[in-house]
Amino acid sequence: MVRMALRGLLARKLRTALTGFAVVIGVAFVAGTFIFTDTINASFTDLFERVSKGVDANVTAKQVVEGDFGGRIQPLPPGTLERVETAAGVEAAEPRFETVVTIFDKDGEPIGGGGPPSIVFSSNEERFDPLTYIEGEPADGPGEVTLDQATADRHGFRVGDTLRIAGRAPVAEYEITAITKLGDQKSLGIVSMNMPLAEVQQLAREPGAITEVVAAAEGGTSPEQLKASIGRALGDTAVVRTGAEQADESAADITESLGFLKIGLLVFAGVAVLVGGFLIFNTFAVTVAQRSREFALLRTLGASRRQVLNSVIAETLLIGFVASVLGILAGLVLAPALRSLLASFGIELPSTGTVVAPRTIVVGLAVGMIATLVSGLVPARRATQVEPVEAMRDAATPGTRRVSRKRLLGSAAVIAIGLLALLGGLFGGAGGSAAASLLGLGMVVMIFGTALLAPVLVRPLARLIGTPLERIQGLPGRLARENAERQPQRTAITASALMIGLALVVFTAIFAAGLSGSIDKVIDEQFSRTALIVTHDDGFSPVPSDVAEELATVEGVDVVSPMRFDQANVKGGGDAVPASGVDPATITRVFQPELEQGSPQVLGELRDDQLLADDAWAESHGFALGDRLAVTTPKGTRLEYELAGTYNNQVGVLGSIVVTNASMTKDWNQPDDAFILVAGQGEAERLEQAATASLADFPVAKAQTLAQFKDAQADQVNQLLGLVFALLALSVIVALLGIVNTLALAVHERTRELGLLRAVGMSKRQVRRMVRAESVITALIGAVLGLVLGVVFAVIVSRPLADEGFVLTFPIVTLVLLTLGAAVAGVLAAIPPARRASRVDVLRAVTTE
Amino acid sequence: MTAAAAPIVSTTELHRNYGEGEAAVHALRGVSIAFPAGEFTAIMGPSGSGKSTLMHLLAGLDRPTSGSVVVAGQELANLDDKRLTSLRRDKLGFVFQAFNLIPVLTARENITLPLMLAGAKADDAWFDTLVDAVGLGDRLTHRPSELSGGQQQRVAIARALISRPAVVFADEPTGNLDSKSASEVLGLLRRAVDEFGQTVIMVTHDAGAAAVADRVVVLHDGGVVHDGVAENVEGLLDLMKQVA
Repeated sequence: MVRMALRGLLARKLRTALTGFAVVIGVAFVAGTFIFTDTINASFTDLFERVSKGVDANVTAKQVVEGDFGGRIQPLPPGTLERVETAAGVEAAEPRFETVVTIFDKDGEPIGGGGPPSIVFSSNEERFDPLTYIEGEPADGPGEVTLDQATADRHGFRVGDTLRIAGRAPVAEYEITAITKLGDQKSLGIVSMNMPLAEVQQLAREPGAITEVVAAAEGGTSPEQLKASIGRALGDTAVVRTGAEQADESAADITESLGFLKIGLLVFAGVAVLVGGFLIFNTFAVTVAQRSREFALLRTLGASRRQVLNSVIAETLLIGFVASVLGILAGLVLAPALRSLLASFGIELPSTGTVVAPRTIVVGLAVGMIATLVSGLVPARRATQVEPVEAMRDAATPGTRRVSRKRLLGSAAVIAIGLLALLGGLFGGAGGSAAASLLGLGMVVMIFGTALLAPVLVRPLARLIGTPLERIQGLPGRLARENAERQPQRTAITASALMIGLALVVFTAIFAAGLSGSIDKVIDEQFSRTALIVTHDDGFSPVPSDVAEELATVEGVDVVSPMRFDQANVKGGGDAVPASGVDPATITRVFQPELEQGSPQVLGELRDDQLLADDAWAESHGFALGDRLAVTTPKGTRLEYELAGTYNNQVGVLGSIVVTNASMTKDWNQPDDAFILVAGQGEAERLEQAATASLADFPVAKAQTLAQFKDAQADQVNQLLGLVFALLALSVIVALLGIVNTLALAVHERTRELGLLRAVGMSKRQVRRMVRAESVITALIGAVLGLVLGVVFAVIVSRPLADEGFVLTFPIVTLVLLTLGAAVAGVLAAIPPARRASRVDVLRAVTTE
Repeated sequence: MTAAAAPIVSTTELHRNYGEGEAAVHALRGVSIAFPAGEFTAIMGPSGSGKSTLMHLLAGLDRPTSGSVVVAGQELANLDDKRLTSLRRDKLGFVFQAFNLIPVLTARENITLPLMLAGAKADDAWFDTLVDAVGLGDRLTHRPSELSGGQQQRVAIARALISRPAVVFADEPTGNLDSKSASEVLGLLRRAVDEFGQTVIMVTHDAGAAAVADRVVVLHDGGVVHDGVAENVEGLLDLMKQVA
């Protein structure tokens, strides 16, 4: 029977290829994601191993507050270097320090801008120096810097050029003394520079600060012994690791913080596999229907039900296997494509070589084969139900299948289960990833439910969409609609495949619009007295406090109120709780948050030993007004703050807690401002020009009017939206292939009918028009279902956010464009089958064999 | 018989080969024949005689290897696919042995199909006359799957006549029918010629069917072996025996 399956496949090359292609794309996405993320991880591991060159032991400050993206790196206590140097077994020790800066290209534009950070590291003694100097000498004097090769190449810097760098200190000029690289890395994912320690400290305005001490062991002392010896010398003031441990730790940190990327990509891969599954299901369903005579003949000749079933299963497995292998190979191509895609959205990641882990191959094969098998099982079972007597019957065109009431109830039940899971994820109280999984599961189940329900909806929808088409196109339009309705199940599944991608696109678009709208609303309501918002050019890094001082001198400026941002551990409130810093003296003049509890004046009268809290956060952690909250700051200081009031934290403008800037400077070691609110006289635009002029020394600071700020926020949301669209594009392409496939099968099935139409006078053009119209109807059914499902998802999922100021907004233009896009896609998908239909051999159709 | 009238369909030295070289099959070997307007002709012959091939060439469904076909004054070789399609739509009517109707259209729509394709309006009086003639007045909203084989063929005949074609081609129109339905169908084709003045060319291997025609052409091995007035069934059967 296996041999027969193989022959069957060869005999239906095109169909097999199309089915296989759906699997290939899904598997390629899965494999590509693994290859991509594994490669990044391997690159980082390699990177950190190189950085630990010559290092036997490594000392860093204790990270008291560790957030999702690592905490701010804290300096080591004074005297650490000396104690390491004098510890037993230490042959040499080197202090290290690094700081995030902004550098400028030759046109004076900041490099990066929301992209990879630029980091200046302190230069190393030769024995610890991991760099390869491609050209030039290490930077060892004031005003000297080395630059990584990737950045130098991209922006045309050479040895001897001047590089402008701004840290906390105003922008200053440095001479490039060398172009460097680290191992074989083409791109480190960051802009990396080296200069002498004192120079780096100067840039950061943290004289004498060091964040790391590395040490080499004397002969005969092992790294473990050195670690123990230094550990004894330092007590518990710092963390000591061997060089290898430190490299592993750093790599693990990165891997963990990139985990979301992998999960995100796998979700999109999953969507592609799901859509592919629909396509496979359809193809098998149709081929099995067409081959019912063949199966019946086999049954007549004495093949058992099981043998027929096995033959179809063997066929699915074979397709699954071959397609999965091809998919894994395609993943090799897709991995760099994903890298470029993310890079084009500003997410630069390093990559050396290509890592194909055995896991990638195993998972790729499993996903491809299981998806194919599951999708092929139902049609396979159907194949075995073919009665031998059917061999006698003319099964040229399978008749219309009526949709039963049972299906209606069944699909409603499935949708309800999905809805319950979705609601459970939203309101069930499960935290983080569990809730997200439940939410995702709910969506998938609802998608399946809708796909099950779709056959019932095909007829009314086809009528709705087809009627205007019929008006315009006459008979071809009418036949197209009838043909689409002919096998509601097949049309439904084809449309559902497109529905999946569109539902997610619509969901994301509505969510993004809501987010932009909500941000706008909060800005309009709470920042109405603010004229300018000054932030770092990249939108998220803090700016030095000099900027606020400078702004105060600008003519026409009345109020300058800096806001800070950091994280701290709150006893009973969780670790790495986001926190805002405000200046009570000025904040109320530019910002009116919605205060819930406490005196109305509490924000303006906030003392350094008081804090305000997000109302919802305080409630969920059982904090009441007047409670004393024990807070551990990033610096390691333990403090008690009195809870003086709560606020409604709309769209997360503030952290979960708010303290004074003074406290942030003193106790949190956070002297930088996240954003600075400015109010003044005259037009905002005029004020913005004056502020920008006065900030010439701080090119990293960007002054924006409220309108500009809103636009920038919307741009960011849209950029994310663009990334999601790009990642869903593959699923939509698979769905379109599904339309091509279904139509091709239908054309094949209806050869005689097409021949008859041609014989009695339908022109080739009319034939093409008819197939095209059917394709458009199918695509639009998918679009309508997708729109409805996407809107339902958005409405439900945004419910809990309504309290936080999320305003549901429907981006009508986007939705209309998406629908039109679906129609155009339908036209494109119809091209190959329409051509085939118009070339049907009339004679073959009208002669009776 | 109006043999003197200008032929509505005529062929000259028509050849049709399938395949090439040694393996070539000569389905038609130089057939020259004319069909006058207003006549009912039956083309007979055993399987492989070339009768279907001849009809396909006459109807512009296939292209000859050599020779010419003129239909309603038009040399088919000069027509591209587009004009050939219009010719079939406007000037020719078809009745095939099986699968004559579009399953998703009603009987009424199937009848007016050629007009709908042309974007033309049906002549109501003519439509009513035809529907009345084929006796399907109460079946017009039914789909083909709801009609019997005989009813389906009657719908097909109405469709073939709806555009008042220059000639109606019928390819074994009774091949799949029981004898009662078959005689109804043949009666209809006869009426089309007698009452409506249409021209019918019918391919059949059934002597009983051929007996209804005015003229019988018998093909054998790709050539015409008999061309004459239709005799009774016995005579035709004898004729077929001689040929076979």
